[in-house]
Order: sequence, then structure tokens, then C-alpha cells
Amino acid sequence: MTKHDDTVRRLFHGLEVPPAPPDVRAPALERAQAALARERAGDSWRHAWEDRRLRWAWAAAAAVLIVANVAVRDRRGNSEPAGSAGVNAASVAGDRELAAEVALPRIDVRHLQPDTRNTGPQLELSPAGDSKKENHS
Amino acid sequence: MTRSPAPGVLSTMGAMPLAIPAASNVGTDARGGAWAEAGPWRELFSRIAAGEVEALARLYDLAADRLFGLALWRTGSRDDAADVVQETFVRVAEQRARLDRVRDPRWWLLAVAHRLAIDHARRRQQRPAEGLEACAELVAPQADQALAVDAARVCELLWRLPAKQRAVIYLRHFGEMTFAEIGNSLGIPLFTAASRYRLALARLRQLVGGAT
Repeated sequence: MTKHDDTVRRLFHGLEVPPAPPDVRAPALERAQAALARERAGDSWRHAWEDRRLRWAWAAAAAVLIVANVAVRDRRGNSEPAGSAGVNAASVAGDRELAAEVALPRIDVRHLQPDTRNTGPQLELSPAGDSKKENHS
Repeated sequence: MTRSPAPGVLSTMGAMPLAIPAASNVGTDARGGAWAEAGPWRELFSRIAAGEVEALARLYDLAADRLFGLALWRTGSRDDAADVVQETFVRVAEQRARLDRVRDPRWWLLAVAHRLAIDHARRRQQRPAEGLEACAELVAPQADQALAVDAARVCELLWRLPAKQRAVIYLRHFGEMTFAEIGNSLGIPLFTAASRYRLALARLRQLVGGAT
């Protein structure tokens, strides 16, 4: 005990801090119990998030989904266009007409002549600004 | 310390009536040895985390006086201090899921009460201040007129100290806490707690010298 403590002890000698008023106990516990009941019956999502085992389950499920997604994508291959798997399955099943449609050679625009690249409708703007006139070449 | 008998069933939550247990005589003196060991407090927190209402009442009996004292010295208002005690126990109930992870419930309770007391004190600054009679941080134990006069004079001196310094003096002298423990409770470094205490004593000595 230091000199400082002695000073305070002499100053506070014989005095005491008043205790909590007795009439505070009942409302304090009543409010606390109400909060406890609210918390117990509270938000189930919060409980699911705060529970350690459930949190591990969440994490494991997310990890499995990510790994499975990566594995499926790798197996399918990135170069194959989406939807081709179903078409190929149809051709294997014996639908010759569909297989012939699928087997059509793709047009590589890089090998086309410059004047044949644009095959869409050509718009010719008149001097008066009538842009509705179309010239199909 | 005498307490009024607690009421029986106070409220009903759903179909289950919640009975508030009567105040027990064991551990009602919060400034005694009940604060010396953390073990019983951790056990109480675990029981509350498990949803035991009786543990909440037991915790109140152990902690209410010290929490009230800290709040009273921090806010300077008995009404605010009573509100702080109530709100502290509401926080305990609301934080039920996390109580198991509290390292030392004693400092956690004091820290919660201290923060709430600061909030109340800030709100109080916007309202008219109470008279000195209402801010009795210290009282005489019994009907001792001489001590009652002393208590009033000391309260007047304490009222001139900054609230931060009053809280440290309270915890150091009446809580019998070390500066490290005070720092843990108030969320300040050990040296800051010691510094506030030293400054408060210097100011008190100055005030006492001026008063005599």
C-alpha cells in the first residue's frame, strides 16, 4: 500500500459506497429474463451461423460445391461450346437429320473475301435523312 | 446488507412462467471474496449460456453492488446507475451465446457497465445536472451524523474530479483492484489507469488543502 493509497483511505475512512437499490433487482432480472427468452427463441439463422459445428458444415458444403464445379468444368473442357453435349448425344442416338445439321462446317470469316464478309442488309442514308430505305445487296 | 424480498412470478413468457428466485444471502456482499476468483464467475456464465434463469439471479446478487457503484461514480446519478445495472443484465442475456467464450466474466461485466455508464453520462450532459444530494457516491454506514457530514463533503470533492478519474478511484479503493485489472475493466492501458489514479489523488489533495 503506497502513500497515495493511505491518503485515499484516510479520506474515505468509515464511508462506503451505497449498494444497488433493492427495487432494481426485480425489474433488472425481469428484463434480463425477457431478453434471455427472446434470445433463446430468436433468429434461427443467427443460431445456424453462430453454431460452430454448423459453421463447419457450411464451410464443408461450400468447399465441396467449389471442387465439384471445378472438376466438372475440367472434364467437359473449355473449348467445347455449351449445349454440344446434348446435340452429340442426339446424333449418337441415330437421328441422322439432326446429326447432319450439327455436322455442318462452320464458316471461318477470316478466309472470306473482303466483299463477302458483310452479308447483312445495307442501309443507305438519303441526303434528306430518310434512313428507312434499305438496300439488300 | 438487507434486501427486500423478491417478488414471485413477475412475468410470463409464452406458456412458461418465469419465476425470479429470491435474493440469496450467500455472496450478496459483492465487495467481499466473491470477486477474488474467476472460477465461480465462469461457471455462472456457463450456466447462463445454457439458459439457467437461476444463474442469472445468482449473478445479480454477486455483481449488482459493484456494478452499481462503478456506474454511480462514473455517472454521478443514482437513477442512471440503476439503469446501467438493469441494462448490463439485459446485455448478459442478449450475449448468452458468447458467454462461454468470455475469458474473465468479472472484467467483462465491469467493462459492459462502464460503457453503458459512459453512454448515460453523455446523455446526462444534455439534461440539467442533479443536485449534490442526489449524487451521493459515498454514504455513512449508519445514522452517524459526523460521518454523514464527512460523506457529503467528500462527495462534493469527488464531484469536482473528472468522471474518468472517479471511476479509477472507485475500482482501486472500493473494488480493491490492481491497475492491470482496472485497465482490463475500463479498456485502457495499465499505465493510463495508474496515471488517472495519481492525477485524481493529486487533485483531491489539492481540494482538501483548499477546503481546510
